[in-house]
Amino acid sequence: MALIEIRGLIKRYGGVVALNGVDLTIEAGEVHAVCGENGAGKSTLNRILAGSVKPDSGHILVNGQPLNFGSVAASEAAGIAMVHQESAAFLTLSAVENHQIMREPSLAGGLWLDRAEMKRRTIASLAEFGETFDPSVSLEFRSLAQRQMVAISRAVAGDCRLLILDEPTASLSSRETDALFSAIRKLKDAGVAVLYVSHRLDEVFALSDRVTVLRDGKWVATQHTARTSHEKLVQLMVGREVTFADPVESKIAQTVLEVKNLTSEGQFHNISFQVNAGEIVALAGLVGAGRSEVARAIMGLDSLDSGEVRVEGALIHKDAIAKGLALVPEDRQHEGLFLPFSLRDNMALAARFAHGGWIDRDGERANSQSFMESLSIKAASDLAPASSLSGGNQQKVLIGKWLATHPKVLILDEPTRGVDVGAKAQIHQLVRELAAKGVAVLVISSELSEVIALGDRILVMRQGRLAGELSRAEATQDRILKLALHQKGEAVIASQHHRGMPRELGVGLLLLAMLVAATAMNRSFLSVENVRDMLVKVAPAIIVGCMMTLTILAREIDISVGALMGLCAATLGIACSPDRMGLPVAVGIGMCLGVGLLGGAINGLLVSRAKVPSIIVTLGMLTILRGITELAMGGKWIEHLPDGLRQLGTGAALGVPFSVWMAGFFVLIGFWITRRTRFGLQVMALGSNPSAAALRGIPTGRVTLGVFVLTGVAAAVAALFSSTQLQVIESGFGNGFELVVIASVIVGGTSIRGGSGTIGGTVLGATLLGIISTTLIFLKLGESATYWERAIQGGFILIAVLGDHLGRRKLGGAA
Amino acid sequence: MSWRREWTLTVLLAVLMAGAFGLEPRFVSVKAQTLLFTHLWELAVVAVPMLLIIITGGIDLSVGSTIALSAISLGLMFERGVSLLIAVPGAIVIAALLGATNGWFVARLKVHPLLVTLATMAAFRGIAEGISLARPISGYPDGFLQVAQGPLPAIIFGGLAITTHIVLTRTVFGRWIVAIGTEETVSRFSGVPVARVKLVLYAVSGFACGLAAMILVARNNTAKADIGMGMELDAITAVVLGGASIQGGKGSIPGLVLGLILIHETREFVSWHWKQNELNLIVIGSLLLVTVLLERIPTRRKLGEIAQH
Repeated sequence: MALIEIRGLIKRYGGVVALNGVDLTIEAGEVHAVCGENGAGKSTLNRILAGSVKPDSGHILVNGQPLNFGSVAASEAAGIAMVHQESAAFLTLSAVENHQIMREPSLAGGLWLDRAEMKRRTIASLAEFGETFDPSVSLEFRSLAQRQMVAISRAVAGDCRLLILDEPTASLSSRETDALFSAIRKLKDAGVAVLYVSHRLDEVFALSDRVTVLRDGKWVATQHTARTSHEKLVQLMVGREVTFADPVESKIAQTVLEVKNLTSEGQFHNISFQVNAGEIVALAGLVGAGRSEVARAIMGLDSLDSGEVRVEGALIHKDAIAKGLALVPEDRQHEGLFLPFSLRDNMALAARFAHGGWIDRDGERANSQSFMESLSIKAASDLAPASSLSGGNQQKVLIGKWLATHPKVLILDEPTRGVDVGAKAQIHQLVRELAAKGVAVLVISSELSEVIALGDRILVMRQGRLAGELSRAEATQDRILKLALHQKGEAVIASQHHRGMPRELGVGLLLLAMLVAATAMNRSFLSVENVRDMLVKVAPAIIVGCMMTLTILAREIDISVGALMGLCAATLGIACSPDRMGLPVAVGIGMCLGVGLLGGAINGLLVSRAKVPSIIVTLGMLTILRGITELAMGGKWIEHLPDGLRQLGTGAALGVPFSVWMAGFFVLIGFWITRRTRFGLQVMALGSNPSAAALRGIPTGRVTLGVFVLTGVAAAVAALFSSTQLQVIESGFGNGFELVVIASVIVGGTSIRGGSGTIGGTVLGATLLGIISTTLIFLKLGESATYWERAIQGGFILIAVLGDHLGRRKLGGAA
Repeated sequence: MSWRREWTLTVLLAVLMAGAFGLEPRFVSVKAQTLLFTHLWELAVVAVPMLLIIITGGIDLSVGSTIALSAISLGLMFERGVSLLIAVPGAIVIAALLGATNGWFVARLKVHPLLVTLATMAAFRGIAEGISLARPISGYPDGFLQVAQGPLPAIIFGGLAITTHIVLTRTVFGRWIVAIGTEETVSRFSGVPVARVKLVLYAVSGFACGLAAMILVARNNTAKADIGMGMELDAITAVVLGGASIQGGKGSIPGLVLGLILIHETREFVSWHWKQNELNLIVIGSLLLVTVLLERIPTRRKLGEIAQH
């Protein structure tokens, strides 16, 4: 019986059929390669197997047992593991966390992670691939290859029966590729099946037992690798014979583009070359060799450490497009085109058809229509959005966008990635025509055949340096590869990031300085009463701040906490005050907590289910909650709180006020959740990379709901202890408190972009912001100092932000 | 361009006004409406640049505080005997500089705008409190106070809205604004001066806050550090209600104007009929959430098509 049997798999996205009835059998202990052009359905097939995509119909049998679709956990339980491409890493998480997430060793069902065991397992697993780096450092400080090794070692660790590798060698050096291949062979000997997706046919022949070709979502053929050939496979993938025009020998004219000693630390070093008018220079190298970075630097998009770029002798300084440079970038969706914009707008944006700032609509129409014809772009009209076009036509629009600027130098980064073979031949032809018209062309390509087909000269980059130059006559695939591949013993350029001083340390030192100065001015600053007052003052911010940290870590925000606190306090007062309902204190407390829970749950459900951005949801909730509170209180303060309730705000145990105990409790809870629970790890992962979190099968909706509910409950608890400190509950209670809480979290170093930050930082941030006014009074700056409290709080946030910026600048322009 | 949101708002507005006519015929009279509209202008003036900033994918939480600091600057200058002919432009310039400060952090330092304006929201209000010691400054000449009663605030808003509409639909600068919010990296690769555009927009936002501060001080005959409190939320609500996407890339002046009128009429009617301003908060908040939710339902079907790209 076959290990995996795939029958009749169909998957549609909207109107597009990604997989159209694919059948495939994979035997235990075989390396099964899958080949096909971009869009052939390889990724969809992988994702269905790995459980992150659910097919429309068809079934998969694993050892005769049907596989449950659409669940990463079910696929992993069936022994199917996938190595995702590089973009699926959680960069702000450590290698250990990346390796162990969703399979963490833990006690009590995820409530206590065994961090030591997690680290031990990661080290052991990495060691099998010969990697010995420290896995407790964030992945963003690791090289591409090390990140890849973490992903691969993660996939094969555990009970893996089918390993799916999607272009695993794209960013690996030859040594690492060798290590990977020997690991794959070891797995194969152990009876593990490997599904190997690669466009590098050499690897397919070196590694695989059988090879399946997909085309346009359909199965085309499965063959024994030993009994097929390179040419045969290409023909199967393409579906017809493709002829590319022969290169024409071009005459070399005067230099147009001159690049001198271009250096950007950690990216590329001392790059110098020239491109002449009418010449096509190809820039070859592995992914990560620094080619795209050089292209961006030439355009002035990234900052340089040294070097200069000239076009026709004129120095380029932030005016690359005006001086005749054009870059057709690698990533059409995120760098090249505005997908929601029409073709016409897209092709007009770089060239700027305008008379003194006013858009020249006739010029734009003439432009787009002429390119639609000359580049034979297939679209309903030039007003159709770019997103409605196929990859090949999008690429032509992108080229048209840049030709409209009449460039003297055209840089094309991977110009034929993800386009079908027909469009590819057209694009090659176009590039040659442009060169023939005198444009200086620089083509960056990872495809050796393309490099050889197009380049009059070929430059090869390796590890951020120019490794060599080949003329057309000298160029062979072997020679280029030899230059491009990492040599043994050569120093690897790791990404040049350092970790700066942790934010907690900076905030802590500032806090310490304030305390020392205030104590020096006035001994009674550190008196028991004063310290107690200060702690009571910061307790609510710490209680809510700890849970808000989780929300911000998950890349969400809750600006309704202040209003929710107000409603919780009003509920408590109305329930317990003898003037109002006069219910027992315990019932009032229960109602107060219930309101917090409900408010958080509504926020969470609207964000996670309805997918409304959290800032809008909580903005709406803020307004509504405040309205309900004011309506319920009728503009009056709630008086005569029962003594039992006042105890919450004024009572103490062992000389420490209850609210401070509670703040301590929430800090412990916060530390416990972020450091020791599966939920906390999932929060970090979700904030770090939401799409990767979904691919790994993290229940993103539940995690989002969870952080909002926790924040809501924390708001209720904070309201319980802070609204009962006075005799009365004021009508504006809680207003503006969200700012104090968010500021505490941010000053404490948690990133507003999610995925990184600590509870300890939040505690320090809340303390710093909370005791500013007390400190100022003790520093004898007078009573008027309290008026300045808010200004200073705001100032501290700005200083924190500035400090971050300066810290980041030292790390180079990469960030 | 789809006019869906504009239609939704127009229908909601028509229903509201019809209901209002049935319950409170006098509310719909020209006289009442003219009087009530004087409450709208400061919010309307601030909401226009807020729309542009939200189209770029940014946000400005500091508008209420900028208004306060600008108003206090006016008050303190006036108190020290500076002529209003100098103090008014001076206070507006100060507001524009405050906005430019936000812009500098957002555009040059590339700090998240939510963070920057959250900080300056506290800082500007705090400075206003600090320099005025939180006391009101009153006693302006009649000539200044009459500005708020006259048509000038409406003219300021009209001019701002029409100019902005033309900029958004007819100029290269307007297209840059939409481009930045659609995909900032593509904009950078296309030669759009992203940082400069953002800097200008935040400065314009500050400038508009200065205008709004003058209108507010003239109407209330007082400058106090707590004026404009909560204005940022009203302005953002109006912008989002008007169909702008908080993720950027989408939004229009006609939508914003409808959103503003709807919020304004709802608020005034609720106060008129129920005489309870608190209800307003609930109604406006619900209006925001319901409008956003209503549009989620049909777009879900399109998600599959978007996902494949």
